[in-house]
Amino acid sequence: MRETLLEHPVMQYAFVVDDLDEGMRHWTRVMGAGPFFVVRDFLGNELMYRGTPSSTRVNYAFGQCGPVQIQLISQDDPGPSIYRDMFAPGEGGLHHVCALVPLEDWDTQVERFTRAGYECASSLTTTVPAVYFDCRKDLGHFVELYGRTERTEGFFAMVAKTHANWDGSTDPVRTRDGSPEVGV
Amino acid sequence: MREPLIRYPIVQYAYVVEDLDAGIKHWVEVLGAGPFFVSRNHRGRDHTYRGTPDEAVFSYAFGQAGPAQIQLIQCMDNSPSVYRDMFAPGVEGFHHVACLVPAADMPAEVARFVDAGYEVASTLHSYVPVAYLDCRSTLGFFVELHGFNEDVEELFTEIREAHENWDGSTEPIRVRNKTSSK
Repeated sequence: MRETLLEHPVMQYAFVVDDLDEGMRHWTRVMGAGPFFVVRDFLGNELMYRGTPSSTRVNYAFGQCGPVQIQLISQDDPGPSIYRDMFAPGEGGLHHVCALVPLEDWDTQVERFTRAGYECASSLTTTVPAVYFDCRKDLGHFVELYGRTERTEGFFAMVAKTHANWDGSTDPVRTRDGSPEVGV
Repeated sequence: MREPLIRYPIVQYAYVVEDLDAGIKHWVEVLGAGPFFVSRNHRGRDHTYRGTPDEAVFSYAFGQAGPAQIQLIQCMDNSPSVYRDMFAPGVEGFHHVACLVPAADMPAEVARFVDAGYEVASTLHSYVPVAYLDCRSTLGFFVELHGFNEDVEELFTEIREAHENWDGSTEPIRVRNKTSSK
């Protein structure tokens, strides 16, 4: 029996970048990742940072790159966050990996990380819960658990499928519902 | 038409660790990666660093985690290298992504990066040619182009299948019978 903390596959690698648009351009130009689906000025519901409610806003972009999804994150808000825990303004790099966890396994999976001594550094909800464990002392980055439902799985599948059928240049930046983002 | 510099999927995410065995333990216990296939005290054939022949010695571990392969790297000496470019002794972190390029296309693929202004920071021969491009200015890490042939495909398949069939605890550290130093 596999006795690891994480019982679901890592499916996403997330990088902090200084500028979301520049980051997306580099990832498309060099890596062929994309198209990217962006959420700007995002404030998670019930956002917590180190045990305290937080109102720090961030920008997200999601795009497929080979077998995994890439998330790019930028922060213009001066507030504290798990991103600023690792990277000062102007810096960037790998921040976390993410696995999708079915809601029926959620409490057990979170409890396993907590019991192993990893701090829940941040949490929020979208249509599902998200938690970020600080695993820097052992892995050098955070680990995100994100609820897996038909809806969240469907979004990630859409990102992958759009990449597979993409010509590499049409509408490289899109809104989350899939339409081209106005003004980009 | 899609014309990124990389024309082959990224198949590997690579990290520098201070201690290979401690790193393997963490990736197995936390993320469920593995088993890891190790190559210790490896001196790359025809290894160059920034254009100069180099004798640096590294230990490597390769294991699957979800859809991608993880490589862990420990520097066994204080020689300059693409790893020391990012991480001083005692400092660990994410270093590069790798993609597999048909061996015959390697020179042309490397030239595309060079033409775009990225420096070839290191080269070596492991079954096939390997090149590390310094993409830190735009991506924050290196990109490895690794030649692809039947031997390399066999290696990647073996690592992935070992993971899929693994119970998560039996022999987390393994040595391949075939090695690239041949």
